[in-house]
Amino acid sequence: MEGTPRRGRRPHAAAAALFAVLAAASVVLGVGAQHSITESDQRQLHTELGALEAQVQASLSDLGLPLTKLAGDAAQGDAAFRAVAQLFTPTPFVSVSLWRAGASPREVAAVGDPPVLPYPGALVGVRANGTLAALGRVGPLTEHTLGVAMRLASSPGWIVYGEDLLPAVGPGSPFAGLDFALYVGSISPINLVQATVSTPVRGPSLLGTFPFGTRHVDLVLALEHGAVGALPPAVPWAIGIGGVLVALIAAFVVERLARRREAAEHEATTATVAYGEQREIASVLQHAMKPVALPSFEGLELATAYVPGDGRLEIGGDWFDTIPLGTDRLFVTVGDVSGKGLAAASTMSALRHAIRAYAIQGDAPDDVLAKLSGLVDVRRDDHFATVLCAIIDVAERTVTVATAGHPPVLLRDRSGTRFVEGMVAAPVGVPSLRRPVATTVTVERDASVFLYTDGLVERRGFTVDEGLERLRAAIDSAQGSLESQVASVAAALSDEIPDDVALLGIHWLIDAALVRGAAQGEAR
Amino acid sequence: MPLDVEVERTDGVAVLHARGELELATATQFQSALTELIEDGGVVVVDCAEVTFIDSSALRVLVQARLRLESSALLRLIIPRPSIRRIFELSGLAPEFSIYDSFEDALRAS
Repeated sequence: MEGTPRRGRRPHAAAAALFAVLAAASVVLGVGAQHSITESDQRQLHTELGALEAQVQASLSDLGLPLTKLAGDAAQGDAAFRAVAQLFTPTPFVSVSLWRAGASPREVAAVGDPPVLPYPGALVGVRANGTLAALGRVGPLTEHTLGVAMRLASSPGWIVYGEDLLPAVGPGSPFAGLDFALYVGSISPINLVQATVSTPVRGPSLLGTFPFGTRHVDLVLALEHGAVGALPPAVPWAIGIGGVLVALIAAFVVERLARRREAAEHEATTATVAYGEQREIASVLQHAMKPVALPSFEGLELATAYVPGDGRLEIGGDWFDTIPLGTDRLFVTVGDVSGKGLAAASTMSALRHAIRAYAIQGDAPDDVLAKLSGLVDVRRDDHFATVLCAIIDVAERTVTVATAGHPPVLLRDRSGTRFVEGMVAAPVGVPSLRRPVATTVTVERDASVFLYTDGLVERRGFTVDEGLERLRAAIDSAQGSLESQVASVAAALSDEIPDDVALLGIHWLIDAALVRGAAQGEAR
Repeated sequence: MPLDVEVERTDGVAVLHARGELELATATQFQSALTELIEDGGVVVVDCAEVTFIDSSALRVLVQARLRLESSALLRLIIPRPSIRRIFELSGLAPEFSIYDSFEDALRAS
């Protein structure tokens, strides 16, 4: 079968190299993170929840891509399904199965452990919209296993169901020593998936929430029982192991891409078919590079708009990411790796993981940019990256921003919309004697900041200043909720663009202090 | 729009006149012309007066050429157009290059 990986054949050099690069970067970062954890206990406590959140989020973010792939290939038959599904067991899934959708879904093939399902009929309600369905806990709490499913709009007759074993919580595990409870959905016993403390959590606690597929994850972190200091040893492991896993998946996708291209050429399939298939895989890889989901953050409103480019078969190097640092601060980053293709995509992936790791450690935006310079070198890698990092402080109402060649963020308040200008360091990957310098501005109540990928302002027919002014004016005149603002701005500016573009808006809620106070009271 | 590249050598100075758009599609052509001049040694002047558009692929070619040289004085860029110069400023690359308004300024600099 044309689309089936040929087992026993040697992997392509590109796939092996991509895996090696990503895995090595992850291990180096993990080791680096291990060495640089010297922050005070106080600070650890403050960032602990954000770190745990990011860790769980990173682990969960690895689930969507394999299921999306399997669901897209479902029509190729159960033998093909088994061959591919084997690559995703026992990690990230202990069990993967293919089901015929319908009033009573029927199992067609299964790999790994027999599927258990969280409850009978759990797959009936899985909607054909390409969103990861978070179905809930499978089996007893002690097995901390999560059931998830995927059904694509493009092949609605099939459901791919997976059971993911969450990281163990016993002694010696990355989660050891942390007292937390993880709920998929609201905080209720039926939604509890994993806990290292008796629930409901009593005493002082912190609550973290982020979207996960069709639902959201609530993390309740208990502050007592010596939780301080327990997490940092986990961070390097999480970065290392998570990174290797992502590397494996990326390498697998690349391998499939290479093999499909070969097969298409070999069998003289028409150019149209080959193009369609490659485009599909490219979009899967690109999907993996897009932000998982926006975190919900007390005191801030977040909204994003993403507009795909004109459909050329090219994998772009743009990304943005949001990383909560405790409950007070949000780290945001946007960047673009010069060039296209898999090499640029793999550099982007390495940079994203590195930024996440440094941000969680508590590094300031300019320090993060300075540290990234060791990861890319234009002389060796043939590309560089423009990167902007910022920390949004909710209570202090400040934005601290540092940029390495990325155009400035926009700040909108009652007096208008303007760019936050500051020192611009050379792009990451261009050795320079000038170190990045951060700029901090204090914003008024009810202000918003906007980050954007540079495709939104750089295009033919306009000078870059004209592009920037178009964006500024569009934001200045946008009306309605933050979400409709970013949607209308992106739609207005994204006509006939070759590149994918993304716009991220962050709005300080007027009564941030009240909201935060109330939420903390609830969490206790 | 294609790129037109013309090379001129005078008194130990090699000048690359670029006309048109420096971008992904023309980066290879630009790179091979520039690399040849860099390998010959001496001062290389890249005349971007007639360049109407520049993207990150072309910036990469220039950065790589610059990093092969010991000093920024050996690679001089002529960029009179504010719109092109602005791209170097926004990308944080302007301080990494020696940029001049005119051919005369570029030659006069020592």
